[in-house]
Amino acid sequence: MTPQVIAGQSEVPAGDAQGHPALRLEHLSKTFPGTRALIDASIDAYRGEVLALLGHNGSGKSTLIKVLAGFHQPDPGAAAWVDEEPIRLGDPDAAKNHGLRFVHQDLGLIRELNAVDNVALTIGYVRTRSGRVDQSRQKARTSELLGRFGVELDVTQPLGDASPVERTSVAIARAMWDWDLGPRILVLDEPTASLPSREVSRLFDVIREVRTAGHAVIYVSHRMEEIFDIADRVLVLRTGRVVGRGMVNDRTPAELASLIAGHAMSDDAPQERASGNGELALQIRSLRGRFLDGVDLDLHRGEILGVAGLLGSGRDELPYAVAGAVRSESDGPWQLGDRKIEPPTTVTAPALGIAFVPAERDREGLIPEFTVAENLTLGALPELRERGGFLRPRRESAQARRWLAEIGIDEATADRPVTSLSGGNKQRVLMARCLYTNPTLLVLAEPTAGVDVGARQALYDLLRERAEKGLSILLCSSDTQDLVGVCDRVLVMTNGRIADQMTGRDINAERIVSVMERVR
Amino acid sequence: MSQIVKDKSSAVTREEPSPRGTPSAPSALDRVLRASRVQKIGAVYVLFVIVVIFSVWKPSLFPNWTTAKSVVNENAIAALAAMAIIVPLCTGTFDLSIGNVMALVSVSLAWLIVQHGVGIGLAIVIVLGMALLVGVFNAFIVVVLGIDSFIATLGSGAVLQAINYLISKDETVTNPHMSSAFGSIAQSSVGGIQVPVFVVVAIALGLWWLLEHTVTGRRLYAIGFNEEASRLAGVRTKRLRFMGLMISATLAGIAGVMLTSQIGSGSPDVGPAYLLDAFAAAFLGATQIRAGRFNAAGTLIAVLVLGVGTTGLTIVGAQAWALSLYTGVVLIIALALTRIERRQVQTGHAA
Repeated sequence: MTPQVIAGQSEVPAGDAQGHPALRLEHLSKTFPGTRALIDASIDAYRGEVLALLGHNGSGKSTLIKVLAGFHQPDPGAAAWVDEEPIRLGDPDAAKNHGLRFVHQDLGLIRELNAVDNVALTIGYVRTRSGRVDQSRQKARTSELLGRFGVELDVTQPLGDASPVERTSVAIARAMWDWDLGPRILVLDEPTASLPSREVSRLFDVIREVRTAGHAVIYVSHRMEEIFDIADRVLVLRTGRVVGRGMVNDRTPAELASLIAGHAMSDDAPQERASGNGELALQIRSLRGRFLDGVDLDLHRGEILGVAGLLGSGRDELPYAVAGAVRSESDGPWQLGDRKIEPPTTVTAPALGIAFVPAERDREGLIPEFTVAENLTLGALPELRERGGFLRPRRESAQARRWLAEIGIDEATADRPVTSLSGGNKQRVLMARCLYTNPTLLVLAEPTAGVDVGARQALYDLLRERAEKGLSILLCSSDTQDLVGVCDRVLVMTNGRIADQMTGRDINAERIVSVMERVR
Repeated sequence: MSQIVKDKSSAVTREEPSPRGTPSAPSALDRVLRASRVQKIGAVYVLFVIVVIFSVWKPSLFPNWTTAKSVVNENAIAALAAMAIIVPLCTGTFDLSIGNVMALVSVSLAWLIVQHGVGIGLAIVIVLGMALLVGVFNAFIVVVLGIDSFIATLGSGAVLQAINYLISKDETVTNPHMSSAFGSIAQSSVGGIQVPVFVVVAIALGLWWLLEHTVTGRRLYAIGFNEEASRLAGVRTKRLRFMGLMISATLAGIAGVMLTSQIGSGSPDVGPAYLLDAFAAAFLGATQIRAGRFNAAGTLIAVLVLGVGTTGLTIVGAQAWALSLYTGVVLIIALALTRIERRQVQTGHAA
C-alpha cells in the first residue's frame, strides 16, 4: 500500500462550528485470525448531520458497524465517546443506553406480521386493565409513529405485502420510536441495497426527518451517487483504513470513486498481456436470468475475464449461471471450445470441464466437518476410484498432499478440519478442488472476499500461472482490486447488461467504479 | 496451525499450538493405541464398565456365555433397524417410518403365507418389494416434493400403520407352517449364534464398505454436512438422498422378515418398538470410531451398550420402566456428545 495523501487531511473545521461530535471513535482496530479488518480507524459523527460511510466489500464498513453495535470486541486501544462521554465498545447494552440505534440490511422485521406487531416487538403493547392487548390504541399508536416519519401505510397488512421502502421506513421508525426521550445516533447499514431506484427518494425523506429532528445519522453505502443527495459528511474506508474524510460538498464523485477504488492500484496497472491466443473457449449469446438481461459473453482460451458490478447488477448472478448453478436462458446453444453444448447443470459441468468456486466460501463451498484433504478431493473423487469402486485412503492422502504443496499450503494440514484454515487458505483449497478436475474453464465468484492482502497476491499468481497454461477464467468480483490486479479484460455490468468493457492497460479502478456507480 | 495465525502484530496473546513433529510412519503399536483412545471408542469402555458392574452384582447369572449369546441374538433385530437408518442419516434425512415398514412386512408375510398359501421364498421377495416401494414413496415426498423428512416419514409411517391394521384386522396371525418352517430361518443357529446376527454382520460390512471406501459414501457424508456446497461441487444430491431412503426401507424390510421369523407370526404391533432403539444406537454410534459421522461399526458398539444394559437390568430384576429410562438416557447423552463433537470439529479443536 502506498501512503495515502488524503488520509492525512483530517477534520474540516466545519465540525467545530457545530460543537462536539455526537459520536467519536479513535484508534479502532479489529483483527480476525488471518486478516485485519480495521486498522486504526477513527470517525466523528455530528448531530443534525448525515455521515456517509463509503467503501467496497471488505473495506471494513460492516466490521465497524458490528463493533459499534457490540457484536465484535475491538482490539485493545480503541476508545469511543458519545457526546464527550466515554462508552465501552463491544457491549450491546452500552451502545443501546447511549442512544445508538441500528437498522441492519435485513431490517430484522417479520414479514408475516403487520406493522403494528412488528413495531410492538420493540416498543411493547398497550394493554387494557384486564391485561388484554388494546388493539385499537396499539393501531393508533403505530400509525402515529409512522406518521411522524411521513410514512402512510395500512398497518394491519402483513409487511410482506408492503413495498421494500415501506418496510425500511417501518424499521427506521421502530428503531427511533423513543427519539423524543433523548438524542439518538441512527446507523443505517446499506438501506438502499435492495431498493428500486424510484423508491430511494422516499427513504431519503424519512432520513431527512431524522436529521431535522437533530439526531445523528450514519449512513453506510457503497452507492456513491446517493451520497450527494443525502449526506453532509463522508468517510471512505478501504482495506480497513480510513482513506478520506470531509464534507461531501468539497468532493467530486470522481474524487470519491478513486478513493474507494484506491490509487495504489494505478501504480501497478496491468501490463499488456497476450490475452489468450484468440481461440474461443466459451461463447454465450444473450444470457438471461433473474438479473441478467441479455449478456453476450466471449471468453478466450487462457484469458482471465473480470466482471464488475454492484449487487443486483447481474455480476453476482453471472458466475452461477455460467456454472449451471442457477437457471438461465440464452439464444441458441453455448459454444464451449469447438463444441456446441446445452447450458450445463452442476452435475454436467465437471464433465464439460467447467469448474466453479462460489461466492460464499463457508456456506456454498466447504464441507465444514470434512478434513482439508476430503474437501480438496470432493470434486475429483471418481478419479481416485480404483478397481472395484474402492477409494484408497493412501492414494487420496498422497494426492491431497501433492495439491497442497502445489498451492502452497503446509501438507501437515491435510488431515485437520478445514475450519482451522484462514480465509485465504480455504479459498486456495477450493481452487485446488476445481483445478484437480483439470477444467478448461474456471468460474470464480468473489474469490478474495475475506482474504487478506498478502494472500490475495498469492491467489492472483496462482490464477495467472494457470491462465498461461491455457485455463480460461471468468472472475466476477465486487472488489476492483481483483479486476485490476489479475484480469486481461474487464466487463462492467449495470442493470443486467454489460455497460462497459476495457482491456489490458485501459483497465483502471476509477473507470470501473465510475461506470458501475453511475446514477441509476 | 501456527502458520495460520499470521498477524501477530497486535497485542492479542494466544498460545501457539506446538507444531507437530515430522510424521514418521506409524508403528503397529501406535495404530492400536491411536484406535483405542477414549475419544474414538469411549462406548467400548462404557460397555466394559457395564459388564463389570452387572458381573459383580449378579456373579452367578450375568458373566457367562449363555448371557453373551442371548445379548447378541436378542439385539440382532434392533441392530438391523439401526443399520437401516444409517444411510439416510448420513445425508441428513430422517426415516421414522422404518418401524412401520417392519410391521408391514410382518403382517404381509402372515397374510401371504397363512391366508394365501404363498411359498416362503416368493413371499419374502414380495414383501421386500413392498418395502422398496415404501422407500420410493418416502423418497418421493421427501426429495421430490421437498417435505421435511422428519414430518414426511412420520406421516407415511402413520399411513402404513393404517394399512397394517387393515391387512391384519389387528390380529396376530400364524399357523404351524409359519411358526416352524418360516420360523426356522431366524431360529437356526451356528454355535448358538442365530442367523439374524450373521445378517447384521453382513449388512454392517456392506455399509462400512459403502461409507468408508466408496465415492458414493464420501458424497453421502458431504450432503449431510453441507447439501448446497455438495450440489455446487457437482454431487447429485437429490439422487443420493432418494437412494438413501430406498436403502433404509429395504433394510427395514429385511429386519421385518427376520423379526417375523424370530417370533414365528405376523403382527402389526411389533415394528415401531424398535424405532427409538434404532435412533439411539445410530446417534450414539456416530460419536464412535468416526467422530461426528454415522457409521456401521460405531452403531454396532452402541447396540451392544444398549443391549447389555437392558439385559443386565432384566437379570437383576429391574422393572420395565427402568429399561425405557436406560434407553432414553443413553439417547440423550449420545445426542449431547454428537453436538459437542461437531462443535469441536468445526472450531478445529478435535484431535
